Amino acid sequence: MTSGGGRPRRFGVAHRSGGGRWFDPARWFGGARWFGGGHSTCMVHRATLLEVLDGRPRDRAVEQALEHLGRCDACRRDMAELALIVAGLRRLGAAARRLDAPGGGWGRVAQRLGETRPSTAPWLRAGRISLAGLVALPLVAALLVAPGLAARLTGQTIATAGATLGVPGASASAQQPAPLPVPEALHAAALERAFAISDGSVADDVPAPAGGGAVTPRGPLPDGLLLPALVVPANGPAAPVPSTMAAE
Amino acid sequence: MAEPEPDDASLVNSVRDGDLKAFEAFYRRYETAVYRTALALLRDEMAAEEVVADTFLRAHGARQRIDPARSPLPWLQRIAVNLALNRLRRRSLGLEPLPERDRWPDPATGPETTVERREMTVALAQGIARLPAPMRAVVVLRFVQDSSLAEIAETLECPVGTVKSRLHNALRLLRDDLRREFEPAAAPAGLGQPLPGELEGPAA
Repeated sequence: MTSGGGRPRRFGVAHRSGGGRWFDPARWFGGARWFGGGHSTCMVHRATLLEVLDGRPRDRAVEQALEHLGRCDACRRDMAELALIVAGLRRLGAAARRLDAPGGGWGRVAQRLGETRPSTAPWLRAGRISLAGLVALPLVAALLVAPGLAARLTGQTIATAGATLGVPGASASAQQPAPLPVPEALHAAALERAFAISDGSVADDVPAPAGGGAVTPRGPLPDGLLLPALVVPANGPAAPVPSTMAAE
Repeated sequence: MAEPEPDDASLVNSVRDGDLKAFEAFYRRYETAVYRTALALLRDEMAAEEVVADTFLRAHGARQRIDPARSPLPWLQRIAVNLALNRLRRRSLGLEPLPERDRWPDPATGPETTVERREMTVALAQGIARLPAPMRAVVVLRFVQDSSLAEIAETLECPVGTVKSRLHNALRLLRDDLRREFEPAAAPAGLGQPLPGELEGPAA
């Protein structure tokens, strides 16, 4: 006798077999694909027997499966094969459990922890320096430095910019310009001619630059900073001057 | 005289408080178990070491989430398994190189070891490497870590039934693999022979 039951397994049809259950997950999901196309009773018992191989304690279902195993050659052979596999896996596992981790691992972890620790340093937390603050800092610095940089590019010194910004003592050194070679078009005088920008103000009565439009009167610029002026083309809407150019 | 080692709960509490010494003790306590899992999954010593380091760095970053009332090992294994499976995925996509040397401990070193058993063990180790990643994780946790089905379910965050079906399917796939390997003449006892049920088909 090779198996119990006489009906072929059909997907989606519940069989009353084995333990008398209408629904058995082993049969539905473990199905013929994995159970070699055997009979439904064998499939049910093989699922149980696999769990026995994996250490399932004896209960009524196990007893029934073992009883089936005693009279089904196919299941005996199937279980013998799987028992070989399980024994082989146990040997492999036992060998793997004799392995130790190589030394030096903690050193690497500690080093990487050390690299990341400053982000949680107490002084940082105490100072409440947020990430947003750290991002904003370079922006603020750039805003403060930009006039000085522009001044250097246009032949003035940082001190001139300092004087413009009202830094005490800066006016004395402002008398010694250190011009940098810059294209003529970017020179302060050229810019003044082009945009009528003079000491931070835009004149009302300056003639339009050649080929361009009129300069829109904007009045004095705040704090002496060279802020962008708006140039109105001869026949078009106002276009903003790039801030870098305006600053220069 | 050496200080007695703290139990899991007090060690975890110290780790949660940010004590780096305690974290070192925590690392040393669980390093080997995590390494074995990573190595069994990846079969590559260097990659396994990297996974161990990444696992503990992540554990340190998330130390507040360690539950002092439970063993942290399943949690650590979960991190390690996920990292290792990610690497396997990258390998399968060709984004990460395959290991230069397949590394698996050789259990067949005793004098009593037969050639057949040795061949079968080698074939079995290769078969594990060919298993789909989720099945491989279950097999490794079951047989290398000797975890129970419930522990595996906790580690992999899936139902016990899923673990069972993955394990059974993995065993059947490994059996099929060995059949192909040894078929037909050189099969070890019981392998390579078709099952009567498979040839006969169901009775009418």
